[in-house]
Amino acid sequence: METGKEIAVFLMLLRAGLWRKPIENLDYFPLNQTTWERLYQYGVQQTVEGILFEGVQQLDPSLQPSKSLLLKWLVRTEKIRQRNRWMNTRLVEQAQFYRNCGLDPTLLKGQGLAQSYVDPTLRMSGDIDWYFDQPQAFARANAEVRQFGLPLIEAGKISSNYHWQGCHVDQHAQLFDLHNPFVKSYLKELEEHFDDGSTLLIGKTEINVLSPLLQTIQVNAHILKHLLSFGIGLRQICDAACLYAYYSTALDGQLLKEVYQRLGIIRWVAVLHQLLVDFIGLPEQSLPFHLEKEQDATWMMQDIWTGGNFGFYDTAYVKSKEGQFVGRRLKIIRLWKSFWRYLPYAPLEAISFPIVHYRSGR
Amino acid sequence: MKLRTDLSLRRFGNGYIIVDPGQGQQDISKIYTFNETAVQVWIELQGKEFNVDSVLAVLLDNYEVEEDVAEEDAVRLVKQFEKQGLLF
Repeated sequence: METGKEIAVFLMLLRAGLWRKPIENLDYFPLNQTTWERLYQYGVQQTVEGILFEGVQQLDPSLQPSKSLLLKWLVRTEKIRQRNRWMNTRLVEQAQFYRNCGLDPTLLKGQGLAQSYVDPTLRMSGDIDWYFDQPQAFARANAEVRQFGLPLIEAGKISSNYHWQGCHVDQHAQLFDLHNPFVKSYLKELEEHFDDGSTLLIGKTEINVLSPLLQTIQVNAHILKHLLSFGIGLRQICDAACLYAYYSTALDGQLLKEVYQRLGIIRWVAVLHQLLVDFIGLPEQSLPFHLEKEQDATWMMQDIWTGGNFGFYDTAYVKSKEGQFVGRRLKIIRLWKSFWRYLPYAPLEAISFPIVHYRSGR
Repeated sequence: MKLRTDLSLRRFGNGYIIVDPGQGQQDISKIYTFNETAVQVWIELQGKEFNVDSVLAVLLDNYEVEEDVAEEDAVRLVKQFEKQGLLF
C-alpha cells in the first residue's frame, strides 16, 4: 500500500515532468531505493512513466535514483519516444489509406492530444481512434478495411476495430462518450456547429482533429465514462490538463460552461477542474472558467489513483491467482460503487450509463 | 557521413548517454556512454554532413589541444561512431 509521502512525491515529480518546472519541495529527498522502485511502478501502472522520468531529471544527480533504476527508466522512456515515432508513421499511412478510399475521418485522442503536451514524445501512446461523422462514411470505412484484407470486428453500429501493421485501430460513428439520451440531439448540434476543426501536421501529411471546444468535451466525456465504469489512470487526467493549458486562449470559457451545464455534468467538471489545479499543477488561470467555490477533489483523485490504467490495477477488484493477473473481477461491485460515487455530480449520466450498457449487452 | 537522427543524447546522472531502443518486440536496447568530447562533437555535428576534418575543427575550436593530438582523437572518434552504428 502506497504511503501519503509516496503519493505526494509521485505527484510532485509528475508536475515537474509535465510542465518542465523545478521540483517544488526537495525536503522529501533523498529517497531510498525501495521508494524509488515503487514510484517507478506507479508510473508504469498509471502509464505516465515517461513524464515522471522527465520530473526525475529535474533533480540534482545526487538525489536521483540508483544508476541501474535510472538506466532502466531512461530506456523505457526512450521506448515511449520510439513508439510515438512509430505511431506517427502508422497515422500517416492510415490517413493516406482512408483518403485513397475517398474518406476523410477525424483523429480522436491519442497523437492528436499529444501535441498539447510540453513534450509530446513523452506521452504514452495507445491506439488510433478515427471518427466518421456520417453513418455512410463509417459503413464505407468498414467495407474498405475488409476489402483491404484486414479482419474487422464490429461492436454494434457505432464502432469497429482492426489491426494495422501491429497497431490497434478503432473506428467510431459516435463522437461523444455520453449516454444520457436527453442530450443526444444537443451533442449533434454542437458537432455540426463547431465543426471548424484544425489539422495535425505529421511530416507533410495533414490529419483532421476536432476543434478545441469539441476536443475538450470529447476528452472529458471520455474520462467520465471510464470513471463510471472501471476507472481511469493519470495519463488521461494529464491529457485534460495539457489540453486546457494548450487551448487556454482558444476556448470560449463561458460557452464551454454552458455546454457542461446543458450536458448535466457541470458539478463533476467543477471537481475535475479542482483536481487538475490541486494535483496535476494546471495553473488556475488556464482553466476555461473560474472555480466558483473550492471543491474537495481528493476523493476523485483517490478513485483515479486506485484505478490505475483503466482500472486494471485496482487491487480492490482484481485478485491474483498464483501470481497471474486474472483481470477485472467483481465488476458489478465496482460499477455499483462508481454509480453512487458520481451520481451527485453527473446524475443523468450516472443513471444512463449502466442502462445503456445493459441494453447493449456489454 | 552523417550522425543518425533517430538517436538523441540524453542526460544520465552527471553525464550523457545515447539509447538505441532496439526494434520489434524484443526488449533489446543498446546504450552508448559519451565522454565530454564526444558530446560536444555530437551536438555540433547533428544534421550535418561531416568528415574527420569536421571533427578536428570542433576539437580545435573547443579545447586547448595540439593539432596532431586532436587529429588522432578525431580519427578515433569517427571510427568509434562507425563501429557502434551511430552513423548513416
